[in-house]
Amino acid sequence: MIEWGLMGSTLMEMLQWPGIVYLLSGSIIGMIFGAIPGLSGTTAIVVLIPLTFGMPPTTAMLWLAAAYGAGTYGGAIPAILINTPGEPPNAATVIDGYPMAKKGKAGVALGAAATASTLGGFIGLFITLAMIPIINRFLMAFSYQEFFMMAMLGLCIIAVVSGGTLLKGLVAGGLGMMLSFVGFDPINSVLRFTFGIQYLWDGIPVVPALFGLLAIGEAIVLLSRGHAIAAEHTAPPSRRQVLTGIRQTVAQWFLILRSSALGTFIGAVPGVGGTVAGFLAYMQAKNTCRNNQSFGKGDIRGVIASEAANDAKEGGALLPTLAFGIPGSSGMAVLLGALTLHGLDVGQDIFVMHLDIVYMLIMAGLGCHVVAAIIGLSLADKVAILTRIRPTLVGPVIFIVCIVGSYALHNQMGDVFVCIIFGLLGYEMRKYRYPRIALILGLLLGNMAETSLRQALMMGSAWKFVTRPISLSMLVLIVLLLLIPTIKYFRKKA
Amino acid sequence: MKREELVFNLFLLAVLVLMLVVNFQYRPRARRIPMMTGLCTLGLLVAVNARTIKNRTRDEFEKQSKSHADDLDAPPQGSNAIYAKKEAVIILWLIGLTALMYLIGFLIAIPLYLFLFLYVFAKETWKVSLGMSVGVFAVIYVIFVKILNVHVHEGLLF
Repeated sequence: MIEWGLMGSTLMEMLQWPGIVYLLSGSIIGMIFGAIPGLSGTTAIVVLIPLTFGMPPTTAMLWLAAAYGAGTYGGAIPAILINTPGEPPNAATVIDGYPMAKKGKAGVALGAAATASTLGGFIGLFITLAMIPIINRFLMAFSYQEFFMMAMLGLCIIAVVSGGTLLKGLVAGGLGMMLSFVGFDPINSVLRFTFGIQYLWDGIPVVPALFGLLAIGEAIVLLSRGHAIAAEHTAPPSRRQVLTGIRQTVAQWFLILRSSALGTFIGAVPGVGGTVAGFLAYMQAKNTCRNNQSFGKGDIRGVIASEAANDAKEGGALLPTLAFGIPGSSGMAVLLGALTLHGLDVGQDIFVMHLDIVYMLIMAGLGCHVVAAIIGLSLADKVAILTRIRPTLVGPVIFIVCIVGSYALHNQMGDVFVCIIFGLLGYEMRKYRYPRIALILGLLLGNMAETSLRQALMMGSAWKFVTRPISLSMLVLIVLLLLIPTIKYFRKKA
Repeated sequence: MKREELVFNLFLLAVLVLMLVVNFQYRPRARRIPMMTGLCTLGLLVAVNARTIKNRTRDEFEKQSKSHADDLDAPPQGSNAIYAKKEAVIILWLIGLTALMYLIGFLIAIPLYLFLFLYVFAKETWKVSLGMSVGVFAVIYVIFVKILNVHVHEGLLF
C-alpha cells in the first residue's frame, strides 16, 4: 500500500528549507559530475558521502539521490557535443546525438535529451512506486539463463543497429567479448590473456576503453579534417533550437512511454546494467517507428528513446536495491553503502520502519530531474556553441580530459595507456566502418554472458534455455534479429 | 583504401589467432567459452576479409562511404592520401602527450603540451596558446586535484 500522507509530508520536507538547498546543490553537483567524462553521478555520491555523516538520514538521502539522479542527464551533454558519453549508460545517445550535433542541431538534441530524461525519470519512478507491492515475483523470474540471453540480445541488437555491416558489427561484438575475457576467469579464478602483465589481472577497464574508442578517435578525425564538429553551413545554436527539441520530444510521448517502461524493467534486473537499457530502447524505437531510415544519422527519436530509458532505469534499479539489498546498478551499490552507513537496513525493515526514506529517495529522484531540466534547458544553447569552436582548440582538450578522466578512475597510468590504445583502435575502426559501440558492448557484457552461461550449465541442462519462457522469448528475438537482415540482404542480391 | 582495410582486418585476425593459441594453455573449463567466441569471431572475420577481397572495388567503397556520411561510424570524408600524413602527425602528438605525462607528470605536461600543440601545430597566436593552456590547466587542477583529491602521476623524472 502507498501511504499518501507520509509521501506528502516527505515532499514538503524536500521543498522547505533546508531540503530545497540540498536538492538544488545535489542536482547541480550531479549534473557537473555527469557532464565531465570519467566522472559520473556515482562519483558524485562517493565524493558527497563523507559530508553527510552528521546529517539526519532523510536529508543525507535527499542530497545523495539528487546528485545521482541528475548525473544521468549530465552524461548526455558530452555524448551529444563531443561524442563522449559522460557515463557508459549514455553510450546509446551518441548514435544519433552526435550526428545531430554534426548537422548543427546540437541545441535540438540537448533540448530533447533534457526533456526525455525528465519525463523518463518521472515515469520510471512512478512505475517503481506502483510496483513496490508486487516486486518479488517479477525479480524471481530472472535466472542465469535469462541473464545470458539478455547479454546476447544486447550484443545482437547493437551489431544490427549501429551502422556498418551486420558482419562487421558481429565481428566487433565478438572482439569486445574476447577482450572482456582478459583477467581472472570469473568462476575458476584462472588468469587468462594477461601475457604476464599484472595490470591486466582485473581485466580491461571499460571506461578508459570507451573514452579512447569514441572520443580520442573522433578528436583525431576532427584535427586532421580541420573543420568544427558542426558542419559549416548549419544554423548556429539558439534558444529556438532548444524549444524545437522540447516540442518534438513531447510530440513523441508514446515513444517516451515505451522506452521508459523498458528502461524501468531493465533497471530492475540486477547486474544487467544501464547501458543495455539505452540500447534496447534505441532498438525498439528503430524497429517500431515509421520512416526509420534516418536512425543513426541524427534522428531525434534515437536520442529521446535512449535518454528516456536511461533515466527511467534508475527508478527500476531502486527496487531490487531497497527490496533485497541487490543493487541494480553501480550507483545503487554506492547508495546502498550510504544507507548502511546511516544505520538503515534494506529489505523488509526499510519498507516497514523507514518508509519515509524510501519516499525521500523517490521524491529526490523526481525533484532532481526537474532541477536538471530547468538548468539543462536554459543553458543548452550556450553549451552547444562548443560544436562550433575550431577543432584545433577542442581536439587537444578532448585528449587531455579523456586521459585525466581515465587516470582519475583508479589513479593508474595503465588506464591512460588503455585509453590511448583504444583511441587508435577506434580511429581505425571508424575508418573501415566497424561499429565501435558493438565492441564496447561486447567488453561490457562478455563477462556477464560467460558467468551466467557457465552457471546455467552447472545448475542443470542446456534445455532450460528453451524451456523457460523469458529465456525462450529472448532467444527467438535474437534469431529474428540476425535472420531478418540476412534474408533482406540475399533477397536484394537475388 | 581496400589494401589498408585488408591490413587492418589482418591485424585483427592476427590478434584473434594469438588469443586462440594462448587459450589452449588454460584448463578446459576456463578456455571453453573464449574458444567458442573466438572461433565464431574468426569465422566472421574471414568472411569480412573474403568480401573485402572479392566484391569491393574502390568505387564501391567510396560510394558506400558517401551514403553513410552522417553515421556515427561513417569513415572520415576526404581523400586518404591527403590526410594520411596529417593523421600520422596528430597520432605522434598524442603519443607525445602520453610520454610527456608519464615522464614529467600531469601537472607540468598538461600546460606544456597544450601550449606547444596550439603554438607549433595549430599555429595559434602565443596569447591564445598561453591563455588556453593556463585556463585548461586551472580547470583540471581545481576539479581533479583540489575537489576530487586525485593523486595525479608526478612523473618518472621527478
